[in-house]
Amino acid sequence: MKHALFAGAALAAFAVCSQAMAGQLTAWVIDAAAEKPYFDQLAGAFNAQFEASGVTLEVLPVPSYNDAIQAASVSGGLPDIILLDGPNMAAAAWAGTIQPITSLIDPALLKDMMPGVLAQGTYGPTGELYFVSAYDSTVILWGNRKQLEAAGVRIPTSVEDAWTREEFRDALEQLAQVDGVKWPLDMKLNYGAGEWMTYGFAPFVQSNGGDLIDRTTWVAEGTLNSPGNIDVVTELQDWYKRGWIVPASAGDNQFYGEKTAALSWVGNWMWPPHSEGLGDDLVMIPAPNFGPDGVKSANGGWGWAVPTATTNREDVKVFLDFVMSDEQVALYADITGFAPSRAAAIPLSEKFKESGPQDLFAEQGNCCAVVRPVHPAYPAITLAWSRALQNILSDGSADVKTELDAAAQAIDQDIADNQGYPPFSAQ
Amino acid sequence: MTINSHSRRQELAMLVPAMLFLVAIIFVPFALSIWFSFTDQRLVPRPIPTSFVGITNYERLFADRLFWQAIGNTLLFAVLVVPFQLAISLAAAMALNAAIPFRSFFRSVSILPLLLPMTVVVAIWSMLYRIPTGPLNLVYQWFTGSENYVDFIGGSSTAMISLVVLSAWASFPYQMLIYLAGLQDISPELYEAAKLDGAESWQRFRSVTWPGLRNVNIFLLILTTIQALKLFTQVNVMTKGGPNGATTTIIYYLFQQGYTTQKVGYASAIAVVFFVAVSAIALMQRILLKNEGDS
Amino acid sequence: MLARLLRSGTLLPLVFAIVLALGILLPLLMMLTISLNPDEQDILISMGTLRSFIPEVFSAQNYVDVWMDPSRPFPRYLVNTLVITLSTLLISIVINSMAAFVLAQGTLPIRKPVLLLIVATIAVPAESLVLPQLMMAGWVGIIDSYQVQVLPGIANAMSIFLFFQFFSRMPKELIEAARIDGFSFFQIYRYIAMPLSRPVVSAIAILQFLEVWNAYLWPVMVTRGPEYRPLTVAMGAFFGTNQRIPWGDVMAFAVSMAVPVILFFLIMQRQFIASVMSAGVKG
Repeated sequence: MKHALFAGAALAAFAVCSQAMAGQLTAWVIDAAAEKPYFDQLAGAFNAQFEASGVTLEVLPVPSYNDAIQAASVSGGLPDIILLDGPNMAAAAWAGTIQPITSLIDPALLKDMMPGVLAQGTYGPTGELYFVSAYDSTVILWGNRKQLEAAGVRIPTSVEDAWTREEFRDALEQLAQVDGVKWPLDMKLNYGAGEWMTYGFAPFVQSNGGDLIDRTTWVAEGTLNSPGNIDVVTELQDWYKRGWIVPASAGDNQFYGEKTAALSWVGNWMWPPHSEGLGDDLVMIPAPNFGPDGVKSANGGWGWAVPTATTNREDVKVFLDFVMSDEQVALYADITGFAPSRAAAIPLSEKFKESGPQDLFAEQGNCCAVVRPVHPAYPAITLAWSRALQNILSDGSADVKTELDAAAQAIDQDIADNQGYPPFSAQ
Repeated sequence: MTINSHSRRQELAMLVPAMLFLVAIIFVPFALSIWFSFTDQRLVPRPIPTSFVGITNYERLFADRLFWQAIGNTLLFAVLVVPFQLAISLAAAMALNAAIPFRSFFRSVSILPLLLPMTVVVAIWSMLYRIPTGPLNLVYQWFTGSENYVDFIGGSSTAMISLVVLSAWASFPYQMLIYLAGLQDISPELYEAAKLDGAESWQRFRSVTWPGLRNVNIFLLILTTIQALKLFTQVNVMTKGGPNGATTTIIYYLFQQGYTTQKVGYASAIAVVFFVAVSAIALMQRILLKNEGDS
Repeated sequence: MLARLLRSGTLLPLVFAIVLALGILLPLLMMLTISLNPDEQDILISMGTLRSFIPEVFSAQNYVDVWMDPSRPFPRYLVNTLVITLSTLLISIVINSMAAFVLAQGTLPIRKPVLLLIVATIAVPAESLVLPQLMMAGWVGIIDSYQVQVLPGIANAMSIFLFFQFFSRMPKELIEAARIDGFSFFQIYRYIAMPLSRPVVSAIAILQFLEVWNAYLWPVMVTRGPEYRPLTVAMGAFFGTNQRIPWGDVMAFAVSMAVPVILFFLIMQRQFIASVMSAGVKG
C-alpha cells in the first residue's frame, strides 16, 4: 500500500514536472498572401503529431514583419523561432541576435539541399549554419506566347539556349511593335525601392562577370561600380528610356491582367496569378545570358532562424526536423509555387513531381544560383544599390556612373563605420 | 495665507501630471536623441561598443548630398502645399459659411477626408493616379484628346505635386474648420457697412474678411508650415522617397537612416538639426507677421 | 430658383461646395465599389472606367473575408483600437484640461516658461522620438500591451494649447464670483470651467480620436502578436513586399475601419462644429 501510494505520488509529480517542462514554442511568420495557407495549417499539423510528446507550437503572423523584428531586436521580446529573410542572416548573426542551428537539424535533411539554400544559411567566418529554408526562389522571364510568336521571337526552353544580351534586346525591339503591346518588358518597378532591386537585378551584372561587392576583400569600390556593371546598368536604363519597360505607376498586372506587356521578369511566386491570367499562353523562359559568366539566377528567400534568447533547444530541434521534412517541404512548394529546397521532397510535390515547365525553377536553382552577399553589411549594400537603381530607372535622367559611385562609397563607408565588421575584415 | 498656499498646491497638483507625461514622452527621448547624435549609436546592439564621436555626425550631415536634397524637397513641398491647402480651406470655409441649401450635408461631407488613415488615402489616390488608364489620366486624355498619359507618381517632375494634392485633400478639413470659426467671429455689421458703401463682393472680401482673419491666418500659416515640414507618412507609404529622390523629405531621410540602415547616431543629428530649423522658421514667421500687423 | 440663388449671392459658394463634395465623394465611392467586388482581376480592369465608381456588383465577400479570417481577427483588432483610443481620450482630456486651466487662470510664476515649452514641442517630429521611446519602453518592460500604446498619446501639446486658449477667455467675473463663493481652485476648474468647455472638449476629442485611431508607426514597433494589435497595424499586412495588393479586401478593411470613426464624428458633430466656432483661435 505504501509503495503504491509512493509510486502514485511519484508518477503524479513526474506528470506535473513534465507539464511544466512541456515545450511551448512560439514562431513568428510573415503575414503574406502567398504563404498564408501554409502557415495557417502549420501549427495544427505540428501539434497533431507532437502534442502528445509534450511540444506545442503557436504560429503568429506578424504584419510589417521586418519592422517588427527590428523593434523586437531593440527592445526584446523575440519568440522562440523566427522567419528571417535569407540575406539578413549574416547581419543578425553578427549582431548576436540569432544562434547557430548546425546541431539542431538532422544532417540527413541537409544532404540533398540545394546549394544556394545552404550557402544562404552558412555564416562565413565560422561555417556554422544559422538559417534553413524550405524553398528556393528564382527569377525567370515569363512570356505571353501569342505576342512572342507575333513578333517572331525564338522561345528558349532550357538554360543552355537562354537568350544572349543581344537577342534579348532584339526581342524587345520586335515586341515593341506588336499590336497590343504597350511595354515589352515588365520588371516589377512597381515593387518600389527595396529588396527587389537587388534580388532581381543583381543577376544581370553577375552574368556579365560583375558583382555587388568583392567577396574576398569586402570592398565595394571597384566592383559595384566596375565598367562592366556600368555597362549593363546603362543598357537597362536605355531600355527604360526607349519605353520598353513598364513604369512603376502602371501597377502590377500589365503582363497577366491587361496583357499590354509581353514579358515579365519576376520570381516564381507569381506563378499562380500568371497561369490564372494567361492559361496556356504562358511560357517560362530562362534568365538571360548577359556575358562571360553565363546565366545567373537570383536566389534566396525566407527561412527559419532561432533567436539567441531561446533556451528550449530540444523542442526547437523537433520543430526544425518537422518543418524540413519531405512532406512539409513538398507541401510548402505546392502551396506557394516555390521550388522545394530538398531533392527528396520533389516526388512528393504535386506541382513538381512531374516533368514540366516548372523544372526550369529547379534547373536554374541548381546550376546558376548566386547567393546575395552573405555579410553583415548586407542591409547597407542592398539599400545603396537599390536606391541607385531606383534613381537610374525612375525617369531615365540619372547618370549611371555617378549613382553607382555613390552607392559604392556609401557601402564602404558603412563597413568602415563598423570597423570592417570583425571578423569579416580578416577575410 | 492658507487659502493661497492651498490654492498653489492645487495648481501644482493639476499641472504636474501633464508635465510628467511631457517630460517622459517628449523631453527625455529628445534628450536621448541629442546624446545619441554625438555617438555612433546603432539600432540593434552589436559586438563593437558604441563610442563618442563628437560632431562627426554633424560634419557628415552637412556634407551629405542626399540630406541637402531632402531639405530642398521638404521646402518645395511646404512652399507648394501651404498656400494651396490654405486657399482651398478658406474657399471651402467661405462656401460653407454662406447660406447655401443643404449646408449641413456639405459640411459633413467636407470633413470626411480627415477621418481616413493615411494608408487608406494613399491606397485610394494610387488608384486615381494609376497609368495608363486611371481616372485622372482619363480626364487628362479627355482634355488633351491624346493617348498619352501622365505618370503622376513616377515622374520626378510631377511626383511632388501629386503628393501636394493628396496631402491637401486629406488634411484640408482641419484648416477649414478653423477658418469657419474665424469667419463666424467677424461681425456681420462690418459687412453691412461695406455693402452700404457700395463695395462689391471682392472688395468686401479684401476690406472686411481678409483683415478679420488676420490672427487665424497667422496661426494657420505657422501650424500648416510645421505640419508640411514634418511630412513623412505619405512618402513612406506611397512614393518611398522616389522617383530619383524627388520626394525624400527630411523626416523620411531621418527614418531611413535610423531605422533601415540602423544609424541611430546619424539620424539623431538630423532630428536635432530639424528641430532647431523648424523652431527658427516658426519663430521667424511669428515675429515677422506680428510686426507687420502692428505697424 | 437660379435667379434667387444669383440674387442672394450664394450661387458661387454653392457651385464650389458641389465641386468640393464631388471631389471628396467620388474617391470614397470608388473605395466602396471596390470593396463590394469580390473579383480582383475585375477590379483592376475596371479601374479606368466609369464602373470603378458605380457599384455593379454587390457582394459582401470581401467583408466576410476580412471579418472572419481566423488568423487575422478583425473583431479583436477593433476592440483593441477602441480600448486604446477611448482610454487615451479619457485620461488625456482630464490631464490636459487641468494643466491648461492652471496655465490660463493660475498664479504660479512657472506658467509662462511652461507654456512656451509646451508650444515648442509642437515642432518636434514624432518620428525622431520613436527610436529612443522604443528603447525606453523596452527598459520599462511594457512592450506589447495596452499601456505602451496609451501612455505616449496622453500628453498632447495641441490639446493643452486649445484648452488654454479657451480657458484664457473665460469671463473674469465668473471666476471671481466663484472664488467669493468659496470655491477652491480645483473646484472652479471642475464645476465652472469644465462644464462650460463642452464644445472645446468635443473638438479636441475628435482630433485626438483621429490621431490615436489612425496611429501607425508606434504601434507597429511596440506590438508583437495579435493580442494588442490595433487596426492600422493589421492593415499593413496587405501592403507587404513583393505581393499583389488585394484591393477588394483592402477597401473592405478600410471601410470597416472608417465606419466607427464616422459614427463617432456624427455623434459629436453638432458639438464639434459648434465648438470650433466658439473655441476659435485668436492668435
